[in-house]
Amino acid sequence: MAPRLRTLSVKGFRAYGSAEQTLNLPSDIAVIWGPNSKGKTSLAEAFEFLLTGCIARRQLMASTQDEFADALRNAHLAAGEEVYVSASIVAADGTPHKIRRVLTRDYAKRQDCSSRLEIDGAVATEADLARLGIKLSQPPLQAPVLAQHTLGYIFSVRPQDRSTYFKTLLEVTDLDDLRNDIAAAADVLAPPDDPLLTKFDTCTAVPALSPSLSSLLTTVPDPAKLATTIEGAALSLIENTGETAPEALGQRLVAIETILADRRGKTFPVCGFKRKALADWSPPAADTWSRLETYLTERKKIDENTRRLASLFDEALKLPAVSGITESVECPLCGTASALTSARVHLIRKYVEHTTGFKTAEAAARSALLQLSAMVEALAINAESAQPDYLRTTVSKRRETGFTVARIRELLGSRAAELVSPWLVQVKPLARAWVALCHGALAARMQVENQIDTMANAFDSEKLRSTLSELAGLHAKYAAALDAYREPAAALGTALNEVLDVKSDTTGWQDFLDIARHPNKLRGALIERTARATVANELDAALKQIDRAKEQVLDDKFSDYSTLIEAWWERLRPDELTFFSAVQPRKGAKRTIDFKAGLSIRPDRSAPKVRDVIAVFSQSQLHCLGLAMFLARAQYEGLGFIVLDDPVLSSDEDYRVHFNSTVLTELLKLPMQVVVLTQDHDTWEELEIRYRHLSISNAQLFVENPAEGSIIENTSDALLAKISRAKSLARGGHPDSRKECGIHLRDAGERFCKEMLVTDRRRKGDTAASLTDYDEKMLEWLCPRVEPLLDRDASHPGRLTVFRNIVNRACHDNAPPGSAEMIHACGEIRFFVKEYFGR
Amino acid sequence: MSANDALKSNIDRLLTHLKDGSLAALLVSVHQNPGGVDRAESIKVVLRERLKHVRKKLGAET
Repeated sequence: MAPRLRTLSVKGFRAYGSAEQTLNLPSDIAVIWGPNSKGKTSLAEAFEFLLTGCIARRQLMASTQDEFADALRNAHLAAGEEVYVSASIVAADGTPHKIRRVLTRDYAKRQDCSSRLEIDGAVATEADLARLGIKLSQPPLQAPVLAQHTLGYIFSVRPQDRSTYFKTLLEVTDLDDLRNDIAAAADVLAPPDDPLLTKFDTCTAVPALSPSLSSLLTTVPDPAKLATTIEGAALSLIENTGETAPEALGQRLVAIETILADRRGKTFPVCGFKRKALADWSPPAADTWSRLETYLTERKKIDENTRRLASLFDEALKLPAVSGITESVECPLCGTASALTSARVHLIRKYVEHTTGFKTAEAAARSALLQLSAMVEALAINAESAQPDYLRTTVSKRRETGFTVARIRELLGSRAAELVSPWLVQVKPLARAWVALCHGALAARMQVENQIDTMANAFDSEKLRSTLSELAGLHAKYAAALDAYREPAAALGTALNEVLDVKSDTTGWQDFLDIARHPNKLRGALIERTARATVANELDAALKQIDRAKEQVLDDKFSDYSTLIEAWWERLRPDELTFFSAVQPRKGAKRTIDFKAGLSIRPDRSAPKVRDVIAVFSQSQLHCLGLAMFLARAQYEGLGFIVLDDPVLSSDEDYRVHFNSTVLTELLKLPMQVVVLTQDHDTWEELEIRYRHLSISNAQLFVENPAEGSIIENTSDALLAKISRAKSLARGGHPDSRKECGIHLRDAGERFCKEMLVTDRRRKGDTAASLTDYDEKMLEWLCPRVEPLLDRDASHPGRLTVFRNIVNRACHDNAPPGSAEMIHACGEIRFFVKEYFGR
Repeated sequence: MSANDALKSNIDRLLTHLKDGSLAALLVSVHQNPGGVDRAESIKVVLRERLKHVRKKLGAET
């Protein structure tokens, strides 16, 4: 169900004064008659202001915004008085609500107006209106109110500017959002950021590698085929240099490495930067020191002579003559015959037994010292290999090979400043740390070896321990210096290699070596890239299809809307040979919207020539087309109600009848509530008669006192309507106005008399009595028959006679009565209606 | 025709101009019926599934 208006109240808004005026809208069709300058347009704009908080006319018509300053508040309203428009509505869900919009600030020279919207007493927003089922279109023609200035809007803008209006009207902006959402998801398909792929791409540009590797750009082979491809690429690269390639891939890669180093070296000895990683150096295990301590302990247990002689005795016991002695033999040391007896040998064995522990400890200690020596030596060797080669050569040798800072700067060119200084800053500390470590290692090794040599005499494990601890400290400092050196050296090395590769025509070789050594990773990266590219292409194609489909949807909707406009056009102006043909996007320029007219010379409109409406339509036809477009839009958007302010030009009698009959009937069938404002009295009367069966609401607008503003009189009562009409004419300065006033008063008088007679007959039991029984009866016939019924006061019959006389003079005399008499006559008949009918 | 009807019919109209079973039609349908997740995420899910399928076809190890 669509929402419906039930009342509209206006206070202080434009032509309406401080007394609230209310328009009743109990049915689906209402017609309000308002002669010029009686508040008709103000009433239409009241509808607009209620719904949107502004009036479109300011944007569409004013050459500058200044011209609408103070436009909304009634000019004669006292300061401080509130200005508002309110309405009772039945929402789409059938519930009643009260909407009110209060003007809080009028338009100013450079300022928009502001207002407060309330729904059922609570402050609300336009979104809350939507929840009631009240839909607004896109600016500037938001409200469902048709006015003269809105009729021509769409024709007055440029064809390119119409596209936004229609796109918004035909609501395909949601499809743009859909398309954008889908396109935005493409970020999951961004190419992977894999350095291996960057290297691979570089390799494919190398002429010797390209034939083998290019196939990988489009197809990712299985691992075996990839290996074959890489082998083939390596073979090609080597053979391209004139060298013979080894069989196995590993050997080929080594060969490439060698050729690369050689070629680079011809330009600059970049191998001078080569170095190995520094191994961690662990301090001696605790076991080492415990073995030394044990030796010292055992040594203390035995005197020096015994220690000295222990080895001698041990060796003597090994002699066969001594070890198997049974009788005295010659002493092997002094040669004294029979000096060495079994007893003395037994004694010697006893000495040797006592020194076993010492000897074991001595052997262990010697072993520990040898290990220490080996550790220190290993440290020194490793530290040296961790130094860049250029630091292990002499200055003169470096100069001889060309490894100079000047040459490096020359090769790097503009990049030298950012790369060379950071590297140089770390070189000296590195060299110093290495030299210190070397000296420390040498001193430690000498000390250890000295300890080995002097184990028997002097042994100082504490001193040794301290020396090795210092050595560990020097190693740590050296490691830190290498850490600080690593990054600037790597950056410098990489940049140099790039330059050297260009100069030696080996660009891409290092990258090839890197990817060849990681074929599985390369394959994985290629698969990922290819997959993303494939799906990205699919997404691209899908988006193109969506774009085409979107255009087709827009074309369909244009066609639908065009069909609706055509239908309303045909209702307004059937069978004309110059007719509305279509509204459509221009071919090849989708943003340009054209209105087309058909011009035919045949009654069946066949073979029409097609032209732009702007070029061929008359003002009347353009007006009609504007109305048709408005009605089509209202139908398309499913609006619940529309307000039409003078939809038919007063000069357009030709299609007024179609509007009054066909168009309004079709609108009511949709169904749609229609409020028609007209300055044409005949239209007002015709609609009242034509739609009486639908209980059409009637109202009139008039002004009694300019200071009080326009007045809305709800005149569903035909008799009162006639009196109101007469009243508005009574003040007319021109005799013709007063004559017309007289005609309406005559009608009112006749109607009053008929109703009196019918009421009297029905009171007397004649239930069939009807106004139609007195069709064709004139005032002269009716008044005498009514006078006896005016029994509430003796003066009433006479007053009716006087009324009749005034009316007759107004209708027949050349010079009708003056305004005062006419006003008096209006008052008299109004008095009688109130007195006898209570209305 | 109400605005909601117009909106609904825009998508329906769009689908009639897209080939059944095509990626375009699938993406539009998923956007219209995201099934409780964010619309943008629902589109990404479709693309990630498609990626998985293509990777497998290219011989990626699972």
